[in-house]
Amino acid sequence: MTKSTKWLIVTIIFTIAVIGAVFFIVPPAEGLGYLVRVIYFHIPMAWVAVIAFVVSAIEAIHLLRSGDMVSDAISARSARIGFVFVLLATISGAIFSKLTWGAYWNWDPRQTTIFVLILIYGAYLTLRASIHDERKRARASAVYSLLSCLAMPFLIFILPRLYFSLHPSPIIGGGLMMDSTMVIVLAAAVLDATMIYGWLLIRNNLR
Amino acid sequence: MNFNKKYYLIMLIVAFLAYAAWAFTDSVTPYVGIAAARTAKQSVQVKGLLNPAAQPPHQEGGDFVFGLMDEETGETMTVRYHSEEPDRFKEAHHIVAIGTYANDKDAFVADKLLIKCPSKYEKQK
Repeated sequence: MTKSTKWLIVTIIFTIAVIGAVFFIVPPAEGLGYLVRVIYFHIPMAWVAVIAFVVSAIEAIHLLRSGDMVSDAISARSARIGFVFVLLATISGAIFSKLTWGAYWNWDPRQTTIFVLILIYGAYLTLRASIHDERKRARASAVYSLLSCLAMPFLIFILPRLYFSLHPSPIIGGGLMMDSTMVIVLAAAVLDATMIYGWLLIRNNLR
Repeated sequence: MNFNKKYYLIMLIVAFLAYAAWAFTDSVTPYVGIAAARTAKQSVQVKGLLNPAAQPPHQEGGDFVFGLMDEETGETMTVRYHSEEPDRFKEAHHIVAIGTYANDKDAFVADKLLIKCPSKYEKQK
């Protein structure tokens, strides 16, 4: 059995456990009831998107320094995974906002900035598709990935906090006011999502 | 690339990022305060808290009526929403009313209300 297969098996078991915990252990939240379940999906997705874009940038630096094409493959794969996860975070967020604020989409600062992030990484995918020479593509995408990663903290962490937003205060790094069972399950869900990301990244052995 | 060129390139990138951030901030928030809502010509999204000093929220001739208070300036105004009380209104921490100010009614006429609930994740009692 290969390393990535073992990882996959552990991840699947852990995922089932986390889903079980979300549906059977997590208590309904004050004011939110069982709607609170959405955040066990939403937060891990957003978390993985950030990690994936950072990994993409780190591999991009490595590519620019060494010209190692494996780094290009990893950087691209990580950015693609991040793109899917940021879409999932946006969609789950829109569903949650319909249920809490009362509208799917309101161009709230949070929504505007994540939309820009989607456009940025959408453009990354387009950039990759538009260059045929492998080396040129690797270098251009690496520079782009690096710049995008520099813009990301502004879009995710800084800008939305400067303005009034309907989005609840961020749970990660925003002063935790959470029931202890919820914290544990949330931490498990974040770890689980990170493991899923890890498997998506290492499967069929890029390195 | 020599040192000087690299230095200029980094300066250029930083300047570009700063410009992009600055240009972007204007369009990042749709929400305005009460003072801006009163004078706005088109539909705006006005944010505020439930005014504790006003008449409590109630139905009045098919409208849901309540007092809104600007968190920053303390200014207040009456909001008339063309519908029933929204589901989660009682739990609201902040309220966003979307509509226009009607001078003849001396109230903000809202087509839609958005609710911000407190971000506490505590067990239901």
